[in-house]
Amino acid sequence: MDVLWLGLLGLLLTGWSVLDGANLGLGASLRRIGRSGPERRLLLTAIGPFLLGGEVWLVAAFGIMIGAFPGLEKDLLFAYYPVIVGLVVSWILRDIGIWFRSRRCSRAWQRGWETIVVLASTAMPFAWGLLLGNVVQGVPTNGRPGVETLIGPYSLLWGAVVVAVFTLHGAVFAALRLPPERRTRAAGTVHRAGAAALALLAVVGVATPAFSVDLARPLPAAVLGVVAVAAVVASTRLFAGERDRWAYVCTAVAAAAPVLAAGLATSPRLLDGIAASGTLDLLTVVVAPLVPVLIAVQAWMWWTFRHRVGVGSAVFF
Amino acid sequence: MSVLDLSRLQFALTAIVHFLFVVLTLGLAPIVAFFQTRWAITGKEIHERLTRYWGQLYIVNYAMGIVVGLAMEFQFGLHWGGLMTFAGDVFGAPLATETLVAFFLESTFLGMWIFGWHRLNRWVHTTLIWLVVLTAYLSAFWVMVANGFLQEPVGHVIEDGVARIDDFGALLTNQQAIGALLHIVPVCLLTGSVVMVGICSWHFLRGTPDVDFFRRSLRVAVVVGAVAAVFAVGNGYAQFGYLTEGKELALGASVADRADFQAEMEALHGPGDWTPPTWISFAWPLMEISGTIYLMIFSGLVLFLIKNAFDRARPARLRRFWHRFYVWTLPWPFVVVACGWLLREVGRQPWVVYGELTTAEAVSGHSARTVLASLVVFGTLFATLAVLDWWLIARLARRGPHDLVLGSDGAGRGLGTPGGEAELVLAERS
Repeated sequence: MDVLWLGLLGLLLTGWSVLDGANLGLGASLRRIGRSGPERRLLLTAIGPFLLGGEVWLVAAFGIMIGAFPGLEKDLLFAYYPVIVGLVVSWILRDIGIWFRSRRCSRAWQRGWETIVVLASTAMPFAWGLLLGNVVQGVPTNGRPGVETLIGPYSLLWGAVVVAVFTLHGAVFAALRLPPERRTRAAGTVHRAGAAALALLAVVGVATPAFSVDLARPLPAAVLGVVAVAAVVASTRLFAGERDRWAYVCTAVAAAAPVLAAGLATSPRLLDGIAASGTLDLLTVVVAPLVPVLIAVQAWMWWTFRHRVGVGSAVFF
Repeated sequence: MSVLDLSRLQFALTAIVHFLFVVLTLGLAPIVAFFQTRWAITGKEIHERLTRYWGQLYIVNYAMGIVVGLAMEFQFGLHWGGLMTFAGDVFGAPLATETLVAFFLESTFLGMWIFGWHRLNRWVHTTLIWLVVLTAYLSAFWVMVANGFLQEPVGHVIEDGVARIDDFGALLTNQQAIGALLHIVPVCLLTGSVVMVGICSWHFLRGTPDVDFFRRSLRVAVVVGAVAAVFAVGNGYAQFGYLTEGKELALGASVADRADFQAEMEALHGPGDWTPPTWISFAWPLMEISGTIYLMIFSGLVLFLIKNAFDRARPARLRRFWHRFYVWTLPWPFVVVACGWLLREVGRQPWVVYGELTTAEAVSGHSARTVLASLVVFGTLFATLAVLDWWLIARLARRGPHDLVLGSDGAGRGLGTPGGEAELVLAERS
């Protein structure tokens, strides 16, 4: 039962990393991939249908954490208070930036919100990575890690890894959604983000033993690290061969790898914070039967908006 | 200020700002769904414009509701660790259910609705907005269940100082949850109606060329508002049937009553201040008077629907006076709903879980400076974004049913960009 709930939490966080990871990665490169106002609007139109349906996975993950892991929720949010505040603030600004950017014709207004989208879409994955990097170093109970851990080099490294893999993922997502002749706009970003992701993943591989980070279950984390590296390499190859869909699948694996690695490596600690069995039984009855429905609804959404943006796409953001 | 005061202030700020937007979201959503259903049936252009005009105000308002809601979700874990420890197993279940079963679906459906224009079958598209309405109200139900538990903790047992669910049915049928929900739902609809009447009045004052459009909007708003006002007031009073004693004091009580209650609670819980602050007693009369006035106004407005008297009645000076009145009092229902939450939450003091856990016991052990810092950050952010969002809504409202933003296919000024720039980009390819 306990493992089932950790599995659901993992599923929701993986879903968020893959779906909103693409939105965030694209947001972070909004002004690089899009060279002009109209191009940026095209990119925001590409994100459009997936913004609400993507970010809601993280909302649901924290909801499940409150319901099924109240002890863990409390410990995480107390210990990593500044990181969480940073995560939420950048999340708010990313969303509002996307909603507000095209509400006025003024160039200055649009450029201002584009900059905010770029900064917030970079800061949010960074805060998320910082959180993961801290979690793998051990979640204190009713306490707080020192500044040297909270924003120490090892934690910062995780932040950078998440930014790099999300940026890569977002650039491939842009290539997949843009009209075919504009696909090449994303190539430079794919190339650079891919290289950065590889380098940073390698550094994490070396740094984890070097910083003598004590992982409860190091093997699955190591395997996921290798998978992530392989996925990044494969995605850049596939992208070069213009097989964007397969490249997206590979970057999705890379985007999901950090949270899965951190979660698996520390799963015994995470399970410490689980709710009483009565609450879990209840949630299993009320919530669990609906999970397939949620996934079916999301699949319907992806299917509806599977085409590249083009004439006739609804424009709002 | 102590860490307790700062944490409470931050919670109050987040909850109230969140609700100021949610109340209009809940109020407008069914009206937009109603317009779209008519459009699906008749296929008439006027119904399409009604759907898109009120729909765009609805979704620009939705943006702020959602982002402040994000901050709201983290408040419990960030500042109320004691609540999570004591009641997390009970209180967390409805919140988890809300995010997963209601909000998850609402968000997905809303995204599909906004971007499903021109792509989905009109009946599927209409069904989507009704699903958004349904899941939004379902969200409200689960949130009220969680809040109802804090007002009057039912359906649980305490083992080793930790609350555990004993009777889930009792949580779901908690009077404090259901009674408040039955009050707040018509309040949302009434607020939506007041906003619509205000916007229609503004356009009539300006001599709008879209007379038919605003008359139709007004009819729906007045009918919904008149019915909603009856239930808002009636179900407001109905809550008197099951007020907790502490809440009775918050409505306004004599010094003697307060002293009696204080003595009674001291006998039960030991020394301390067990009465809600006296300043909160301003809230109840304000709600009572406002509710009654809106009930009268909307009953009167129904008569002014006859032969479109609302925009034709004479003398013109008097008519314009009332139009101005509706425009200038448009923000008032938001003040009143904020009072409702203040009364409900501040009126529960010093408890977070009534009779079982005080706010002082529940607050996390941060330093006051830490909480002050995040309060300043969130406070500045919310204030700035809320003002900008209201300004954008007002701009869209003033523009009238032309160059609609929602359901735009990237052609014309509807983009909100000079010369339809996205169209330019999209057109280049063909």
